[in-house]
Amino acid sequence: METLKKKVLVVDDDEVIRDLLINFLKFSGYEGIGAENGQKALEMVLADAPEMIITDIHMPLMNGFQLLRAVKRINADLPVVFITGFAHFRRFFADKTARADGFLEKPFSLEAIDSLVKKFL
Amino acid sequence: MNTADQHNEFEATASGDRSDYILVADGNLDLSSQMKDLLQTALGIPVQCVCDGLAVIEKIRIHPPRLVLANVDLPRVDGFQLCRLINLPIAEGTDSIRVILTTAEYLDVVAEQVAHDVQAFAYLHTSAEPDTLIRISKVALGILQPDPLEPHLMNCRGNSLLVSTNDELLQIAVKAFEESETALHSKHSMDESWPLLDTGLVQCLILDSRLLHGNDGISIAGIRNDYRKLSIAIIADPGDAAHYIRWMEAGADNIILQPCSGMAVLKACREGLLQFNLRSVHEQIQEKIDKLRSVSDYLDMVIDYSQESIFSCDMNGTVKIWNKGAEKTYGYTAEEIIGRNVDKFLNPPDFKRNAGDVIRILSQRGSFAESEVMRRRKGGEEFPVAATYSSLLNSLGEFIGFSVVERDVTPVKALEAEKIKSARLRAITQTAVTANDHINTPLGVILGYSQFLKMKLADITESDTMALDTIQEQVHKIKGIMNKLKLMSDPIVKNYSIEGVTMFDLSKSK
Repeated sequence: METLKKKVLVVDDDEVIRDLLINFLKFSGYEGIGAENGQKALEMVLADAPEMIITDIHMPLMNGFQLLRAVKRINADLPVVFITGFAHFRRFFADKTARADGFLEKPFSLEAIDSLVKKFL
Repeated sequence: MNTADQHNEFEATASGDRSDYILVADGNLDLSSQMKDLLQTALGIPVQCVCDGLAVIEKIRIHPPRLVLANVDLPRVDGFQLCRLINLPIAEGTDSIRVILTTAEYLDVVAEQVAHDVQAFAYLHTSAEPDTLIRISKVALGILQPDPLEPHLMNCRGNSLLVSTNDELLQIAVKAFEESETALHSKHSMDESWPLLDTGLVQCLILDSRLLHGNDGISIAGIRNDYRKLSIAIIADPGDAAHYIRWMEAGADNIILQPCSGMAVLKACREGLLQFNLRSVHEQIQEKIDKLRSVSDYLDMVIDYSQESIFSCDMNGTVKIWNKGAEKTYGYTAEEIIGRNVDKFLNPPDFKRNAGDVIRILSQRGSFAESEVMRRRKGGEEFPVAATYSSLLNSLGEFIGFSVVERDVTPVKALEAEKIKSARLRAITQTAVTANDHINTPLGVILGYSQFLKMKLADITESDTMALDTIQEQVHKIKGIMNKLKLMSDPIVKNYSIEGVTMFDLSKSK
């Protein structure tokens, strides 16, 4: 019987990044699923029950902060990790990012993604 | 009817008595109105007001008042002329009308003397207390007895004091003074006289020399010291020349030799009065000079110690005033530059405008300002100033030169340059932050895929591995450059190899 792969939701409006991470997650033995904004991601949280979320911050419709707040209201234990190229956001929005479970600055290394996923899953 | 006539008020008196009113004449309608209210209330006599001298005369000829209060500065016929006309007389009985002159301007003893000579009854300052005005008016109307020491009454003016133990002398002098309607106080000793002298009303002292020979400590020098303006005449015995010289040296103004007549004493008093007036006028002029000098010294100090450069030039551009601020800014002392042409010192070599141009502009505009104009210091350094030029006019309104107030704006310019640098740096930093944020995503993709390829491809060659490593190294290098740009606080610029092109030196910038 095949063991169920752990599901990681990748949220980024940049399709190239999204595909890179999904491919890497699959390569590393996880199930990677993708959403292009926070709103879509929230729907997928309810529908697909991912075990971890890796999300960009700056996105249309619903940004990363709003997604974090909504997700934690549904499931406070679901790990949410921010990845962003807008690294200075971390300084200005320390209070908002504080509730996130991890923070990765772009450009990130795949090793860093791998250790984060292993840490939470 | 002209404006003056419109202001000339004539009130019909209720009593019907042609003399039962007081006439107030003053060009200042507010003042005459106040005097009218005051006098009517205090004296219960109707008061009429006019505002020029001719109106007073017309009124007196038709309807003589009991008393006239007239300002010296009346239009058309002034107060002094009015007194003379009334005393001529200009109509029957006008010479018996008493005139109180008021003034805000002529407060010196000469004016008082003129008021005395034109036979004004009293001479009052317009700011005198209401009680004084009422008291003097009552005396003039015969309601009150005059106080012999009343300073405002002209017949008490020119108070002279004769001090002698010789009763016969005192009697003939008093008689002579009474005949000439001039005030004279007579005393037997200086002890009786001091209180009178202390009132300040005595202007001429005639002192019997016998009192000086006694042992009561009276000295002319002492009197002169205590009453500096007082005219002092000594009645002396003939043939005592040594004493005359000593008395004069101590401060006496005149020596009257015995035996003397009442007229001789009167004549000495009149001369003494002139002496007193001379000293008073001199004192007043000296006070004014001192006041002007202190104002002038103060203004000099303000100009001299101003931080701004202040200087003035005549119509030829010759420097007349050069303050300490200018000395500090330009490096030239006042001695070096005053009397020399300003253009040779302050203008940079290629500066086109000269003092003649400034004068031409000022003759059209009166003053003008420049927010920045270049000047040259003594050492040759050129620097910017903000300058204000103003015309200098003499008392006749003639253009006699110009003044310049300047502020060295070098520090302001440096601050502006610093502000520009700071704004430029902010813009660079903002651009770097924005570029950094936007470039990180594609860098992440490049880095990620190069790592992913390396992991995924099992049969990757050594040269392919090196190529992927090089891609990753270059990504980290770009990231490093972007981080440096983002955090740059003090950019160092270097010339590019192409002339005229500059760029940041990232290795030296902080």
